[in-house]
Amino acid sequence: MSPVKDDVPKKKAAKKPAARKAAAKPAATAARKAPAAPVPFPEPPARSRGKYVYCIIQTTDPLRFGPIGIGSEPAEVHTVSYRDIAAVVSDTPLEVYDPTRENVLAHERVNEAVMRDFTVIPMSFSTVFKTSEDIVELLRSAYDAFSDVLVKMRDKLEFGLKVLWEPETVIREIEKEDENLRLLRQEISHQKGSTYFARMQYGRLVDSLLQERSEQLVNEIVDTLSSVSVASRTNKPIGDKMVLNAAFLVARDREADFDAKVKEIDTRYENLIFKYTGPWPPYNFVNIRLKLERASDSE
Amino acid sequence: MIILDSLLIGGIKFVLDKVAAAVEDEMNDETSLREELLAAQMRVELGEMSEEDFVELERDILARLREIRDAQRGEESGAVSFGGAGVEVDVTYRGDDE
Repeated sequence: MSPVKDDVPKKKAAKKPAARKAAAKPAATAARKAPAAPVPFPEPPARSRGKYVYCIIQTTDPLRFGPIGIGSEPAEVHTVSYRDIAAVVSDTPLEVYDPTRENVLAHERVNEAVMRDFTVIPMSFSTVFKTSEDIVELLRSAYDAFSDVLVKMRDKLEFGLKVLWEPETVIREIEKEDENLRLLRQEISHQKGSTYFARMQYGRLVDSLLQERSEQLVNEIVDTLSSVSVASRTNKPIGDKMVLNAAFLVARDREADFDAKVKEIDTRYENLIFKYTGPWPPYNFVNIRLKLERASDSE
Repeated sequence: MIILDSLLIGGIKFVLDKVAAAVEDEMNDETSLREELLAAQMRVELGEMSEEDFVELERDILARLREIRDAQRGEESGAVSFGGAGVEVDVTYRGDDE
């Protein structure tokens, strides 16, 4: 088995400025001996190359998106096709990328560029295949499903909405409205001796009232936005101030309506903080599951 | 800054038939580290954590993530190769939450 060998470096790559870097290291002597001839060896195994996959699109033509790939020396972003679908990829050393902001932005920058002209099925961060053949196999195995999802995602965008609150402020608000809570609080501040039990009771009541209010807000917000979106998904809130961490799938021609609704909600709830982002590729609305069955215990 | 969580949620999930259970355990550790990273990003965004503190924490979390990954994959690079193995791919549209 020698999957890496299949991916023989192309001459095109050698013409790029990046070739200087490759030649400067182990192949330096060879390059000096025969400067005009194409370098005869494949790249040294230690620097074996993989393909970083950003997204899947529909296209019949091979495409190039420029040297905007992930990594310290941005590689050319191009397509690997099977029939009329293609993976958007760039060459990369076989390594796992840390989710640093720089790397994550690089991944997203490519998807944004591709999204300008295509409907994309986004890959998660740091998805690397060993060879182009492996990618073709992926596209071939799930050709119908990819095609189907591409149709479903056509002209749709994802928007993220996170809603946060300041628990202290909300508790004060709730106290104004909830008599039981107010009385309990007075009791604690006037009581002599142990207030342990009253404080426990107060804490429990606060928790359940916060929970109730947060559920109510989430329902109101999601309901309001569902009239202008195709679908929504809620993810686990991050940290203890977040009440809603949601993604909405929005038709391109409803984008302005969705926008207006978010602004409307933002003004309606003045004590909430809204973090509104997008458009994103539909990360939250496509699920790709890859199951490898090992042929034998060859490894 | 707010983009990381989207990237980590979407896309491809790998299941290797024989090692699925072990991988899943490791995934849980990985998930909680990623959640920690996201929570820290959120705090920076809300002005509750300084950029310097974040960078330090990020470095620490990334190092731990790398350890998990190394343990999981041994000498493997983490790249996907079908190399003769059968492959089954599921691609589905996920609509609203249940």
